[in-house]
Amino acid sequence: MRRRCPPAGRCLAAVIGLCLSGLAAAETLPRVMSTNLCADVLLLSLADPAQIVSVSYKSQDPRQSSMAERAAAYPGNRATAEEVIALAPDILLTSRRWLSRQDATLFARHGIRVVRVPFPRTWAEIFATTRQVGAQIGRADAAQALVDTARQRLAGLHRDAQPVSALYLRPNGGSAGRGTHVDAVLEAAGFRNHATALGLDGWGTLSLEALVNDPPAVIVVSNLQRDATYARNGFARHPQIRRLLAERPVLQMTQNDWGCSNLQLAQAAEALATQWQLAGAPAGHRP
Amino acid sequence: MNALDVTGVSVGRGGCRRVDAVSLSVARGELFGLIGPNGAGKTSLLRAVAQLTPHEGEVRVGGAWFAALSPAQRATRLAYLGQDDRAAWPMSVADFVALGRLPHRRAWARGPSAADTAAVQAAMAAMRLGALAGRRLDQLSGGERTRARLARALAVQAPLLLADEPIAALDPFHQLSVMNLLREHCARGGSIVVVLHDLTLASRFCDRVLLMHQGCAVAAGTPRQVLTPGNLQRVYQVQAMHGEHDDQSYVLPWQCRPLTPSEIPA
Amino acid sequence: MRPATLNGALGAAVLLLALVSLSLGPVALDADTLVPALLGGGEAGDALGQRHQAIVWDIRLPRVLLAVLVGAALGMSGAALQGLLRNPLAEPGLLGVSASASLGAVVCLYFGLTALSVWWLPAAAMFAATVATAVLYLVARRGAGNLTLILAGIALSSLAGALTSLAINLAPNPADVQDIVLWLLGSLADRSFDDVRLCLPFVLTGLGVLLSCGRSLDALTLGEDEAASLGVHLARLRARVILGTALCVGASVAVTGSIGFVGLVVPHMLRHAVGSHPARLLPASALGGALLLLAADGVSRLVSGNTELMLGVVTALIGAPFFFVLVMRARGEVPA
Repeated sequence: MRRRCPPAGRCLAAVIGLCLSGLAAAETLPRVMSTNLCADVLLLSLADPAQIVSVSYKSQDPRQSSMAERAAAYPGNRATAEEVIALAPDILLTSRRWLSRQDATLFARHGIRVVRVPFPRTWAEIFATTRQVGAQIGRADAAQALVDTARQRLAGLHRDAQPVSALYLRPNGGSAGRGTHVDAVLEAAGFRNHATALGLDGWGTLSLEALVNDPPAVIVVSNLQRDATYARNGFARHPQIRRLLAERPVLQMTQNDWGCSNLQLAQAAEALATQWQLAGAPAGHRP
Repeated sequence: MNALDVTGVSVGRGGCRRVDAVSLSVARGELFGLIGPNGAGKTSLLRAVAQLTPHEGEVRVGGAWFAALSPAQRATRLAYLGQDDRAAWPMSVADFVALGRLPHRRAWARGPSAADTAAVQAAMAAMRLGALAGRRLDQLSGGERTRARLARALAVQAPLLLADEPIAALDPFHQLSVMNLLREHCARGGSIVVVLHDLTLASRFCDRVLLMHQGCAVAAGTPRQVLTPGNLQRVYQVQAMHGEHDDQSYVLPWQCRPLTPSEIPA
Repeated sequence: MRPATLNGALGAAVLLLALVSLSLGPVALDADTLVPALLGGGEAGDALGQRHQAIVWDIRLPRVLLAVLVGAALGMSGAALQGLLRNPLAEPGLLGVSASASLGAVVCLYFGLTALSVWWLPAAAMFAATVATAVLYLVARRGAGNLTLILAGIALSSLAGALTSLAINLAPNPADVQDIVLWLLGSLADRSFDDVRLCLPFVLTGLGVLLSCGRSLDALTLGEDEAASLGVHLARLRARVILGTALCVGASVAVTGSIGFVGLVVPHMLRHAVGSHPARLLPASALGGALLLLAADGVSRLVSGNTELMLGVVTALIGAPFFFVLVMRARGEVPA
């Protein structure tokens, strides 16, 4: 609790200031607040700056969000019902899990429409989600434009006839198999998801033995901050895993884009493909 | 040489001494009774003699200055039987008695030596435990358990045995039989200091007794010399019947009579 | 049964179960691949053989060794604590010694002491375990019955648990509390020879120290006074049991988290077989503990699918009902 939301008075003043400045442009647009890292990303990339009321404080932390700079321009919130009522947005973008803990009727009484941002698992779902949220906040055109751009970028990625196997690996042995956005990204980047090949369905953990027995050609790691705890690291500390990481090309996801499933993943796929080329993909696999 | 010489032993500090400058001697082969009302300091004295509690004064066992000996040396010269008769674990009687041989065993000895086995068997025989050797401790009656505990103490084969109220919780049959067994042990040359509450048994079985009151030794000598009407009145506040049977004097506490203020010594 | 026979049988069972355990895992290895992998004779240059060898030697063997080490440490600690406190309900996990060791480990982990040296981890766990055992001893010493002892254990566990949560909250690098809680439940998964090395010297020392207390613990059956009259140096005995328990439990918790009830169940099951001798119970409980932990680990691997069942959960599932029965029985026999 080191970084708190500014006192209510300042908060309010900031909001009023924003509203006034953007009044002309955002007159017809609903004022939107988001309380969740992934919803923040959607809001920041879709909305007119003037219609953004507040984003979650997590988005303002550069260690957790690649959009921290843009997020810092708005008041941060800690996803409490009090803050929502105080800021009184027209629309609240949030996750399903958060909503289940809050009283939806309370927000309805205050005229706040709650839009649940789903967690899509495929590109088609990602496009649909983007367009859907765009339509909700009055930015359908912007959403369509974003989707088109992403489609183009994905189309530009090379796909090999015999793709290399890549494994997304977290320090605790966690990985993602069939039916996850990680699977979608790895496919898009031109890889074959090794976790899917090992029979993993959805999210789960892979056993050390199975990995040593059948190692992937490439390992993809992300540095999600909360994975750095010792308790989770037993897997990563194991000499066999360290050897595997030392022997195989390791592609590093430096942004925290993997925590959310949205159009940013198109960039993630591009970044993966680029890293793979730089890491010395076998000649036959070069695009 | 005496089995035990205690000179000026005190336990506790300053004004509240639990034992105050008590001296006594126990000859070899003697059954020595330690008597006195509750809180007189009998247990404290016994623990001081066994070096189980800090004390002043000198304790000599078999002529040797006891405090100067190592715990291992002391363990073979003095066996101590406390009041607590809860054995923690339900061992067999034979195993339990064999615990008395621990001071004689080498640190990493594999099993009991021939001397150990002989001592355990002798102690069990002395306490008439032969038939109970295989029984578990928690399946014994109170009298049997007391005999097992005494056998454990006898298995040490120490010249001196201290026993703190070994017969307090027993019925008359077992009280008499245990006291008889103690006498037998003394007849074989062992020396015993036993704390007793039962004045009749003390007068009947002990060679000599020490009467304690409020930490001090009031009187010492044969039961006849010590258990006088005056001493009993002063220390126990009871009146007793004194009699003789088979050439032996006995004392039977009969009724209590609290001291009047004028009788209480200044 | 003679002690040597019992210990021989237990040792043989441990060996057998260790071999079975080596053959269990997500990657199915049959005898034809397992034996060459185990003997290290995998044909040079054969990638598959090398992988199998890595699976058996680097993944399964450390796990088996840790199960044996930690099981032996916990089993013997339980037997020794029960001997010292003269109470069959004494157990490191139940009495908060394990929780305290966990506290030491967590403080060490989340305040970055491991960055200085990994040896801080077992050191901190063992230090905390020493303090907890000493406190328990002070409570038990005043002629405390079962009830007092267990209440003291509950108090100690709760305090250690609360302080662990506090330590996690205050730590400069706030972590996911759930991870710690899971870790504290105890597991042997994904351990390597690094972990074996980290606990081996302390566990072996602890086992040696406890084993050397056997005779004195035998004498303690008679109570403290009579034990002292048999030449037992009580202060030294207490210090040795506390130190040995702390070494065993602290080092175990540092690498596997806290695994409960082993020290309760094993001595109880073996007590009758060794004729209730605390000294004979020590080595037997060590072997029995190793056996129980190997079995529990095998079960946890067999029954769990994608996510592995925590070992501490398995031992608690076995141990807690057992403890309940013991308490009910003790209620009938011993006045608390």
